[in-house]
Amino acid sequence: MGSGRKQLSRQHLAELERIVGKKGVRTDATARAAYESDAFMLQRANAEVIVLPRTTEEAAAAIKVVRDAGLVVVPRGAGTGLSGGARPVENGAIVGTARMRGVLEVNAEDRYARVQAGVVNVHLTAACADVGLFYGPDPSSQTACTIGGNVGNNSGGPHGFKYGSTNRHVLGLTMVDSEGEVIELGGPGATGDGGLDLLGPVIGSEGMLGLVTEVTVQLLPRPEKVETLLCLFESLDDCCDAVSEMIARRLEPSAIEILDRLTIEAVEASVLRAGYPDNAEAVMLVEVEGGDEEVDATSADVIEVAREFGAFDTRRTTDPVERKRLWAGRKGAFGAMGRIAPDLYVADVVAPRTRLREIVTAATVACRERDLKLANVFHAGDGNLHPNISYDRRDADEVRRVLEAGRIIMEACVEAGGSLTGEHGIGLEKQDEMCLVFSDDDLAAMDQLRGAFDPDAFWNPGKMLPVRGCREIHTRPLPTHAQPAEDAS
Amino acid sequence: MSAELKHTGALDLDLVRAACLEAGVVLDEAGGLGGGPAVRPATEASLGVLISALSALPTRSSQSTVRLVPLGGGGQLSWCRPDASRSPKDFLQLSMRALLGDESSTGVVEYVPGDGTLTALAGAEVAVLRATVAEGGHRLTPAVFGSCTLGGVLAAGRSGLDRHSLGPTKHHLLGMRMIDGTGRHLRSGGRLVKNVTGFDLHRLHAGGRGIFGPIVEASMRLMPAPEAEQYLTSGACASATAAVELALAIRGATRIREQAVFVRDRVVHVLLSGRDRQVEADRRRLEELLTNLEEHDPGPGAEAFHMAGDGAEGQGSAVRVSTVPSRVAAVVAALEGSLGELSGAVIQPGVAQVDLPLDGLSSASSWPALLEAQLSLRGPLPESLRSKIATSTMGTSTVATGPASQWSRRLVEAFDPAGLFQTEGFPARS
Repeated sequence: MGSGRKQLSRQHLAELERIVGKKGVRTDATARAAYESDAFMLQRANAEVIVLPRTTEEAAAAIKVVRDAGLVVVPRGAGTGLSGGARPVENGAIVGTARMRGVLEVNAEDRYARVQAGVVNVHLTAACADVGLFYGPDPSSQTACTIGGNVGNNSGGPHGFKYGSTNRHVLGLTMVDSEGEVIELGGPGATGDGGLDLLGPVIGSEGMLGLVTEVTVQLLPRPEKVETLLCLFESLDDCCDAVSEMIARRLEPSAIEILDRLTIEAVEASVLRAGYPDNAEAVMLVEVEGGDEEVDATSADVIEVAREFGAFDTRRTTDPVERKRLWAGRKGAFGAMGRIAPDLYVADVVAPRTRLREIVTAATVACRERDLKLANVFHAGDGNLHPNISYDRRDADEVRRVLEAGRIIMEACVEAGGSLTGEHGIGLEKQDEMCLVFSDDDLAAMDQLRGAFDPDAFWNPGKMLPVRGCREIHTRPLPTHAQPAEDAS
Repeated sequence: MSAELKHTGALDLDLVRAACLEAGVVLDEAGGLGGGPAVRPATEASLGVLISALSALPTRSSQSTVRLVPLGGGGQLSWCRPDASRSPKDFLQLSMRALLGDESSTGVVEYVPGDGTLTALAGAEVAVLRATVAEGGHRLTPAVFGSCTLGGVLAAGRSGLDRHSLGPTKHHLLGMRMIDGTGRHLRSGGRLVKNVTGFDLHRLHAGGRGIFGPIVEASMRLMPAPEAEQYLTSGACASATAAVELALAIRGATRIREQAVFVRDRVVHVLLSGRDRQVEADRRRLEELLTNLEEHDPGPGAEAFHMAGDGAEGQGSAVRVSTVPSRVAAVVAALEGSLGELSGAVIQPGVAQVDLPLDGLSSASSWPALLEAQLSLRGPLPESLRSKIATSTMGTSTVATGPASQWSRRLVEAFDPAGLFQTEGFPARS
């Protein structure tokens, strides 16, 4: 493919409408505006066409038409991604899964579900609640984000501390390749013994290896008991240190989250009103799941550590209504921050869990020096931090300062042995920073992987991998990730 | 040489000698397993140079070739590299243990108890690593014994019995460094428990049987060591099928949090682990399901448990039937009906897997159940049996078809263009 791509002709448009119906093909200005970015709003582009198939078969047929028209494709779920991974390629096509919302099968005995890619995360868990099962990954955007989008970003969520990210839960995928062929990978009973684990690289590939249309996921039995704990601190640093100590003592709750004062104020001022107290600098929200005895023992240990590290108040609840309210505050925190400023830059970095405090400090300093408002809400148990910087995108200088602070936070994480992203992906936002982590050879190998699946760069081109070489970006991997001494020369 | 070419020729030792000379690596012409040639590079740099030199050499004829097999403990060789078992002299053994340095080295690169992560060289023995992290209150999955190395276990895609509750080993893999078939030192993932930076190439190499080149180092997520463990066995059941039904009842009892459960020789083996009081509570609930429950001392009990459960992967030669939990009892009943007692078979109902030792199969006269089952061949079948199990009976899920087959081929071409690490029949392609 490459330059000189063709435009979408009337014939192509008519063919697409025949395949997916008129409602499934959008070229009007309103639709283009709605799809011009994902939740990373600093970069926007116009798609030539938005195609919304209802089935795998429709998707496969539509891909053939789009390919014939010479357009590239950006796959898209709900557009809740925070790194620009689903931003259109100028004059390319968006193929969205918004109309693929069917839960195709819930198998209680074998504990799996097969769903269309556009099923909203929380709807999957609702669909299997009657049989005592649930789906593990629970991104904060789970009321909107889709299972297909979760596959694209290898999404996690608060309970990823116990259950891991999406790649631990996907058993199989149905995909469409750039020729419009349908491929089945894995499945409920597949061991993969006879072949390569192609599911592995596809999950988290940010839509660059094909279009995922159906997903088979494992389901987990609902725990016997769930308890939510709220620990209140006068210092964010102490709260971070308490989490590091819980990890060091090998406690096993299912989620450990931290919200700082600005976040608490935003949540409490919003419709969510979770009941977080107004006298705390930081709140630690912990969930413990399992058998009665296990929950009692672990909750007691968590509270003991919290108190040792300065928690001035702790609360425990197993009441479903109260638990739901506490979690609604946490999961709605990003939305609540809309009260602070019109736009929000949600950083997503990972630090070793022994070094949470220093990264939070680095973020605080970076924002203070640039006169930016920082609110922290993050998956502390996984070392996955979300420093959130409020800004107004109409203020170009403020945008510049936000991006500068974001870069400093990323560098601090990588220098501490951390990484660029824990769950939001690289997308457009962090392409250049890939050179902080990986060598030219590493990145070339990733490009070869992409090329093995998609030789023509048909899927989501220009994302994740640096467009310019690292030498041009003038960045080399930081020492943490250097080759061993013998190879360093 | 195309990666699609099959390696039928003998190892071209002249070419190997030239490459070893360039890399400064000693060629031990008959000191490897089975008297085959072996190299033991002492540094990653020399290993990279050796691979690079070998990949650049032209193949002199279709009768001679150069093939490398990365080796840890060598325990996975027979099923992981079926063509390698023909003659040890047909391939060059690449020992990954030499990279550990002196014999006292554990191979641990970094163990961070406060972060619950371990990074170790591929040649490190899993048992040694498990002992190391146990001192810090952690456990490493998979729970395997013997001389298995971390790289070998990962390359072979091997999991332990704790897969029942903790998932396969690859779910605990955080990142790795490897050297590909062109001699490039590559890295993917990292040392963090959560990380989605870049493509997960390491997930491709896990279970990749070394066909892209040797794994050099891997980082693993550790689990907290449990406060208490109980190793329990039932009395012998009337049949393997009856034992499987009991094991499935345990799996279905959501108020019991078994870490592992399997059936061997009509006995149900159960591992309970977790907080003290929880394990006791689970034990009481288990007693309602299983009669004649016997508890084994933790030390020897642990080893006996894992040795008993060491199925196809540990034995290195077996047939694996994979299905879904709801079909396990039916599959086992069919196998029992046609093959008899299934002595030595290891059945893990939770992960829906039945491993049948080849010894038991060689005398069998009836194969319909096997032919109907979804088969994965784990190791070279004796010639006398090959004719009885047609290749077409291999499960469709294990054979990449259409575009997926092309993806696999292109991946091999990208990472091992000279075909140094290729093996016949893997990855299975249409």
